[in-house]
Amino acid sequence: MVKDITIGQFFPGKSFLHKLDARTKIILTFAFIIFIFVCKNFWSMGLLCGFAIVTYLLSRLSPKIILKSFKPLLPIIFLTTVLQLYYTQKGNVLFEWKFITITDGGVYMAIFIAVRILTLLLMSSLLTYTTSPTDLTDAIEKLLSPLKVFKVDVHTFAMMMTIALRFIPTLIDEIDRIMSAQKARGADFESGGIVKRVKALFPIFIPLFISAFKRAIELADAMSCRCYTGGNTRTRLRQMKITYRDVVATVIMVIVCSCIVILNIKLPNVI
Amino acid sequence: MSVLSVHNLIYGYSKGTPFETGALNGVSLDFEQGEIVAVIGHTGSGKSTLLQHLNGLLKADSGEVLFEGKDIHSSKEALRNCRFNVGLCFQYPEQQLFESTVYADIAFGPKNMGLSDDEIKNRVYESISFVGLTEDYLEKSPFDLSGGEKRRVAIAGILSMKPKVLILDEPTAGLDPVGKNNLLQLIKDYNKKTGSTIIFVSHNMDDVAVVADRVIVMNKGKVELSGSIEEVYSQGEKLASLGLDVPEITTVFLSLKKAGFDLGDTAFTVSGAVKAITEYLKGENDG
Repeated sequence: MVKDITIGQFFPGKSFLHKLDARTKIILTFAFIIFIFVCKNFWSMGLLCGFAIVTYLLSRLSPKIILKSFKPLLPIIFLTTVLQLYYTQKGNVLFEWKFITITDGGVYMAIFIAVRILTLLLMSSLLTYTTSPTDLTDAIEKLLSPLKVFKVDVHTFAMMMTIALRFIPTLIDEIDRIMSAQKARGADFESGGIVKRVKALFPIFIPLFISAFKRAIELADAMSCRCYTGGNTRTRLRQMKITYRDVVATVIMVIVCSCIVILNIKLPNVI
Repeated sequence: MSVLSVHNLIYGYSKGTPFETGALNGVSLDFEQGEIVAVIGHTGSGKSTLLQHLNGLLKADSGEVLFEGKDIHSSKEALRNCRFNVGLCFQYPEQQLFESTVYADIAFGPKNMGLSDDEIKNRVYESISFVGLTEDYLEKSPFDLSGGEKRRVAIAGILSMKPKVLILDEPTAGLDPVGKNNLLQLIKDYNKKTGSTIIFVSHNMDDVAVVADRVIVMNKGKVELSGSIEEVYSQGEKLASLGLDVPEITTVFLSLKKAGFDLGDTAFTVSGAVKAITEYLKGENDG
């Protein structure tokens, strides 16, 4: 059950999306997220949503993986949709019962918000699914490097992120293993009141912290044994390169974004 | 009736992702009361997955697990009953210690069973002496102990539930030779004293030869060979093709046979070898 978490996972592949430079992917994803909030009507949102779906098809990932990443957030999407239905009072009344009034404006709004969240989720998971953690942090280090002017230790920050990302799957496996081991001793994580449930977490988290600290010490030792010093003296085995793919992707993104601005101006707003 | 049996278990890991591998492809086995069974196999052969099905931690995609003839997933009570009667000790069990004292940690299992305080106390004392530690240890913190002692405390934590079937995943991994021999002896003693069934996974063919009554060889999620030590170990070529070795003694005896000294092929342990050699020498003196 813990293994169902796919956030931060990377699925290796050779698609166009996998081959894009990680820096391009980060910047374009950010642009995408900003423009998702710029969209004000169904036409622009539809365009962006279609763009996200085409991007997904380019990644050649199995639909099961994507659906799995949606699963944990479905309750949140459902809740916001319901709240939108209830709180948006605009346009014709479709349904009325005691204190509940549903308008067609509310229905549009609810659909709009749900599509917005799903698109956002799809695009941001595509970023992590098609970019290896190392590439991702390398790119972040590069992108943040202008901050060095302000004496920010960008390299250490990037290194910390690499290590953290690297150990997410390890820790998930570890939690899974410890949970199984305690379950085998009759531990019960699924019933009882809140106090009992919190108490039931001790047998998991104490061993988890102990092994995490142990791992951290071992990793630090292993790094100093290989004379790790960090900072500016380090060079890279693989240099990141901007290729024609990145140019193509950026141009397409710019065109899509311009279309959205035009659609927003020319057509009436939903919000 | 077998105390524990599995019928046609099929189970796949991480379905629908690129990491999918067939972990169990139709496994059927019976475990009898009081026997010691060793499960061996190459890494990834599905041994550990099989073990986790035996006490219901994992649920197979198809097939069933019967404890004392009853499907363990038939009801919540059946599953609970199975959890407490089929004690599963994971690899490196010392990593699951969490309490502030050894006593409290060993008492965790019995407490979850809902036993009375007196009964819990009896069981804690009984199991700590079973694993060969003195009662002085009970008040210590489990984190102050040595690796071998931690392992014993963790195993005591399983024994305190008095399982009818004890399952151990690589119990001797990472122990020094003395610690290893002690632990194997402990497993044998526990089996003799309580009559429980013991199932254990091992990579070490020498360990298996010392302890087990029966050997199951797994490969690619299937039972490849099953039988007594003699039956399985005499198929050296087949074992080699599965990436497994025969015990060192057997290798020595095979080379002796090639050199013209036929000592038979039933010795798999050092004591068995001593016997075979003495008999051979006797026969030579007589003849």
